[in-house]
Amino acid sequence: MRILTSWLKEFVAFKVPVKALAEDLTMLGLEVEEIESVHKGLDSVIIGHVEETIPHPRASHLKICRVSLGREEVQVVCGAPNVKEGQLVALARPGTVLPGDKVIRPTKIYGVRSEGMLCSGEELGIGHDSTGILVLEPGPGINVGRPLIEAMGIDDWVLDIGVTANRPDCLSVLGVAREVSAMYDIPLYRGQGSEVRTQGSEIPISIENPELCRRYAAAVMEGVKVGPSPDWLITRLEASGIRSINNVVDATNYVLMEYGQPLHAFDLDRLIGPEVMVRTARSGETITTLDGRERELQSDMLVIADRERPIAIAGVMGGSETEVDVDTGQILLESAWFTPVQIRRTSRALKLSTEASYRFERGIDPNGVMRALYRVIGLIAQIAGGHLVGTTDIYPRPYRDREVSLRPQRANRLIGIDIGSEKMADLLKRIGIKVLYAGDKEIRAIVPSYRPDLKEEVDLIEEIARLYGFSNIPTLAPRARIVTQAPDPSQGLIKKIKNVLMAHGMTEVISYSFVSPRDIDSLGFSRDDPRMQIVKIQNPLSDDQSVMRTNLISSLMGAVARNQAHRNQDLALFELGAVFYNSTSGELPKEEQRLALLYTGSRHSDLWSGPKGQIDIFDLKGVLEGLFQAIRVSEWKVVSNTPHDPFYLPGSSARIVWRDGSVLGTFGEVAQDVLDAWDINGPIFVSDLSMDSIERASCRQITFCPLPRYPAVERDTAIVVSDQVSVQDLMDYISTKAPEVLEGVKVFDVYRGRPVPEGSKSIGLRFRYRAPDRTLSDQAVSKAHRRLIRSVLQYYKAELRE
Amino acid sequence: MRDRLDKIRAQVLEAIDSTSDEKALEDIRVRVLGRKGELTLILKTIGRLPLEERPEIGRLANRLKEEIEESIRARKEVLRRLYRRSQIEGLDLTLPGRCRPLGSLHPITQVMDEVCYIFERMGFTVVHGPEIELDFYNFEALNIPPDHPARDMQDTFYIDDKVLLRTHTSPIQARVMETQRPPLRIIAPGKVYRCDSSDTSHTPMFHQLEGLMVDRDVSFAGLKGVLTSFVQQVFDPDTHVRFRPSFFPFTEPSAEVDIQCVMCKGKGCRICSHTGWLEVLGAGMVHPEVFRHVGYDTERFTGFAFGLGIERIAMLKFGIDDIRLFYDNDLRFLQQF
Repeated sequence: MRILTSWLKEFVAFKVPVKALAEDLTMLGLEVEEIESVHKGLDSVIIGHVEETIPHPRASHLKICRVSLGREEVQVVCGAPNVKEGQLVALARPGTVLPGDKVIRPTKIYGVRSEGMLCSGEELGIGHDSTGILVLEPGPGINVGRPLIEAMGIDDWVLDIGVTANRPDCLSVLGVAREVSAMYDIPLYRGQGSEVRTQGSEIPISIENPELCRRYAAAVMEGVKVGPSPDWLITRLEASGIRSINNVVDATNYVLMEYGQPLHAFDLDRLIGPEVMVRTARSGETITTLDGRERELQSDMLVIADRERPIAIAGVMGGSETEVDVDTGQILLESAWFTPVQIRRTSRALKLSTEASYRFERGIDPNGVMRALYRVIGLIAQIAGGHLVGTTDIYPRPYRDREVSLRPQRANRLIGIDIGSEKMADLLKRIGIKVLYAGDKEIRAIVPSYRPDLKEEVDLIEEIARLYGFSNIPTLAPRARIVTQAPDPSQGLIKKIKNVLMAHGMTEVISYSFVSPRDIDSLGFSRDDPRMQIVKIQNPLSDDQSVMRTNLISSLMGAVARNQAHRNQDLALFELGAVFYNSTSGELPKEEQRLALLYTGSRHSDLWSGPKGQIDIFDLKGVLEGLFQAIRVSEWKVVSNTPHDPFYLPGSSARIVWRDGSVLGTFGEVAQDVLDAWDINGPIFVSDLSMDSIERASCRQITFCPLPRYPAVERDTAIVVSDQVSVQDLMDYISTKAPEVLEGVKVFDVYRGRPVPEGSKSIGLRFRYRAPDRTLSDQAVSKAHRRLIRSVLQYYKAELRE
Repeated sequence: MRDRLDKIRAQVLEAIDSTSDEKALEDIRVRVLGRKGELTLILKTIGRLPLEERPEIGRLANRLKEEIEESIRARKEVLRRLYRRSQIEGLDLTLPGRCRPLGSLHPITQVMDEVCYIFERMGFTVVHGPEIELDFYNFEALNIPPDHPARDMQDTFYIDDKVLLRTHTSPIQARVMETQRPPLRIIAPGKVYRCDSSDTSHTPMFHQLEGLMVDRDVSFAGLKGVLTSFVQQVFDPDTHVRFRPSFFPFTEPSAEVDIQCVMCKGKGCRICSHTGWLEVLGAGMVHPEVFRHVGYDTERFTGFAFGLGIERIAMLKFGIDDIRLFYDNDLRFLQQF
C-alpha cells in the first residue's frame, strides 16, 4: 500500500520527520518497506538570487545570469523571458533529475558555460506555469542557498507499507491515519462523519442474494463531463500506483485509496431498464470486463446486472459495455459491501485480482459505504461537474456492533507485563474502540466496524501489546516446566553418518525433492517397481519440477551432470533425504529417508603421494565398510548374484543384506544407458541405502568385551580356487567349519595370472587363532589349521598355492 | 686356540666398525655367531680340548662372544642414527602432507545443526513431520480456513485437493499437540515448499525450523527471552534485536523479529533495503484457535511458536548473495564450507 504523506496530513497532523514516522509505523505493525521522495531528484534544486543578467553575445533570446547561492556564485545561461536581476529563483544544479528523467549537467550554450538551469514550476513538477521561470516571493524560510523543496515545505513522500492480511482497514489513507492518530495520541480530522440520508433515485435496485451482498448503495448523477483529471489528482493516483483513466473513474479510485471503499461508476444510459440487480450469474452468461477480456461466469459468482445481462462482476471488475467514457453524461455510482469469501472465490476462479477484490475479500467497513459514496459524489461534482439526482441505500442486514470483553489479568499474563485496566482501556480507546466498562476483572468494549479482525479477547490483547510497544515488553527467561523427552535416535545417527562420510572425503549435496518425470524414467525401472509409483504435483512450476523424486540416484546424476559441466571431474558425493511413493493405504503418500553415495573420477588426483588412479568399486565399498563400522552395523554381507536395479551395469552390483535378511541397500557401477541419458562420463559408482533399515541394523548398545589374556597365533595360507568362487562364499564355508579357537579370517591378497592356472585365482587368507583360557601351542594350532584347510580344499576342489 | 680367538677378535671387531648398513652387520653376525659361525664352532669344540685348557679357553671364547654381540648392538645403534640423519637431510617439510582430502557438509546442514544445537541447549527436543502434508495440518489446524486471504501469504504446491507439499514446518505443531500434553518444548527442522519461481532470494524448496513451547504460564516476554538469546548465539552476542507486530493466523500477538543488519551494522545498505534491519524470524503466542483444534484448554495453557528460514541465516552468516547456489550442488560452492 503506497501512502503519500501529504495526503495523510489531511487527516492527521503529525509533526515527526518522515523517517521517524516510518520507523514508528513499522514498530506498530505497519511495516514501511520503502520511503520514496515524490520529488526524487530535486535535492539539488537550490534557491538562488539573480545578481546580474547580461545578454548572450551570440543569441539574443538568451541571458547569462550570475546567480548567488549564498556562499558561492554560479553562472547559468537562461532563455526565460521573465528572468530579472534581484529575483529569487530555483536553480537546478548539476546532478538534478527533473520529472521526465531530464538530467541536469554542466554544459556550454553557444560557447558560454552554464552550470545548471533556472526552472519553471512545470519543469520541477510542482506547478503548471511553463511561460517563465519560477520566481519566489521572499518570505519566512525562503532563504538563498536552501534546497527549494524543503524551503517551500512541499516535501512529500510515498510510504510503501506492507499491510498484513488481518488489517484491511489499513488499505487506505484514512486507515493509516487512524493508526498515526492512535500512535501519537493526536486527533483525526476526517473520517468520522455521520451518514446523511437523502431522497431515493428513480432507479430500481434489488438484491437477490443478501447473504452475499450485505449492502448496496448507489447514486445517480447527471450532467457529468468526462475528461482528463486535474494534475493534483493524477499526481496522487500515480504516486499511489494507479493509472489515470478519466476524471470520473479517477475520482472513484481516489476515494478507494482514501477511504478503502471500492466504488464503481456505470454509464447509466447504457444500462438496460435502467435497473440494477445484485444476483448470481445465470448459466452460460458471459461478460467482457474492463480489461477487454471476455469471461465465462459460473453460477456461484455474484454479478451486478441490469434488466438483461451482467454489467459487472460484483466486487471484482466492471464490464466494458457500461464503461464510463467521453460520451457519458449520466452515471450510476456503486458503493457496496460484498461477502469476503464470495469475492475471494470469484477472484480466484477467474484468476483476476483487483484493488477492489483485494479489499472486499479482506473485509471493508460496512458503515463506511455511504461516507465514501458522498465523498465521491462531491469529488466528481468538483472535477467533472454534474449534480446529484438521488441516492439509494439498500442495507437488508445492517451491521450490528460487536462487543468483546477482556480480562486485564489475562492480558498481563499473556504479554508478560503489569499494567492497570485504566491504562488498557485508554490504549483501546485510541484505536476507536468504545469502552463500555473498565474494571479490574473485566473490560467490555465495542469494536469499530472497520476492524473485522477484532473478534475475541486475544485480539484485544494483541492491540494492547502493540500499542504498549513490543519494545517495552520485558525480555525474560520463559516460565515453564522442564521437559524430559529423549531425542529421536535417528537424529544422532544421521549426524554421525554425515560426519563419517565427510571424513571419508565425501561432499554432501541437497537437491530439490521435485524432479522431471524423465529423470525417473532414465533409470529404467520396470512398471511394477515401487519407484514408478510417482507422486505428481498438480501445479508445478515447470515440467522439470513436476513430480516428487522416488529415488536419490537421479538427484546425484543431476549433480554429476552439473559438476562435469563445470569440469569438476573427481566427485565423491552423498545425499540424505526423503523420497516419495504413491500409496493406496493411508492419507498421505509414503515418505522414506534414503542415503545415496557416489564416486567418480580419479583417486586423490591432486596429491603428490598416496594411492592414485581411477576410482573403482572397492573405493566405494571401502567407504560403506567404514560407515557401517562407525555406526555399528555388523553382520552384514554382500550378495551379488541377485536381481539388480536396472540403473546398474549388469554383473557389477550387489545387495547389502543384514543378518535378519533385510536389505540395507545396494551398490554398483552405473549402467551406460543411464550415463548416456544424463550425458555424463563414467565410470560412476553409486550406493543406494535405506535409512530405516540402517537405523534398525545400527547397534546403539555397546557391550564391553574383556581383553584377551592369551596371545593369538596367525597362519597365512593361499588357496587356489575357481574364479567362480566368491570370497563371501569362501568365508561363509569357513565359518561353518571353523574350530572354536579360530578368532577371525582376513583376505590379504588376491592374485590371478601365472603360475595360477587360467580360470582360477589365488586367495591369500590370514587366520587368527586364540583360546580364551590358555596359550595355544604351535602344534595345536597347526593341527586345527591343517584340518580346516583340508576341508576347504576338498569342498572347493582347490589347491594350496606354494 | 688363544691365538685364533685373538685373530677373530681383531678381524671381527674391525669389520663391525667399518660396516655401513645393517645387512652387512647381520652377515658378520651370521659368519661369526650363526649356527655354523666361526666362534660358534669353537665353542662347540671346547669339549674336545685338553681338560686343563677348557675353563680358560671357554671363558675367553664366551667373553669374546659377548664382546662381539655388544659391538654389533652398538654398531647397529650407530648405523640407525646415521640412517635417520641421512633421511632427515634433504627432507622438505614444505611438501603437502599425505592427507586424505576431507569432504564437506552442506552449508544448510551446518547451519541447521548449529541452530538446533542452540535450541537443544535451551531444552528443546527435535521432532519431525511429513513433507507431503494434509491441507488440514498445513492450514486448517493452524487457523487458516479455506478461502482465507492468509492463504495468499504462501503459494502452495498441491498433490490433490487435500494433500500438498507443506509450505512451512508449522503443521508439526498441530501433529505434536494432538498426541502430547503440555509441557512442550519442541523444534521441528525440515524442508518446505512454495510455488515461487527462483530468483536470488527465492527457491521453490527451502528449509525452516519451527519451535513451540507450551505450558501454564508461557508469555510473550518469555518468547522475547528465548529468541533474543537464540539470535545473539547464532550471530553475535552484541546483535541488536527488535520485535515488531505482525500477523500470522496461528499466533496472536504475532511478531516479526529483526536483527540489526550484519552487513552495514544498521547504517542502511542494499542487503537491508536501507532500513538497517533484517527480518530473521516470525513468532507469536499460539492462537487459542490452534489450541482448540487439538483439544488443549486455552484457559490453562499458553504457548509461543516461532519459525525461521535456515537459508536466510546461512546467507547472512556466510555472505551468500544468491539462494539458488544452495541447490546447484556445485563443488566449487560446497567445498567452501
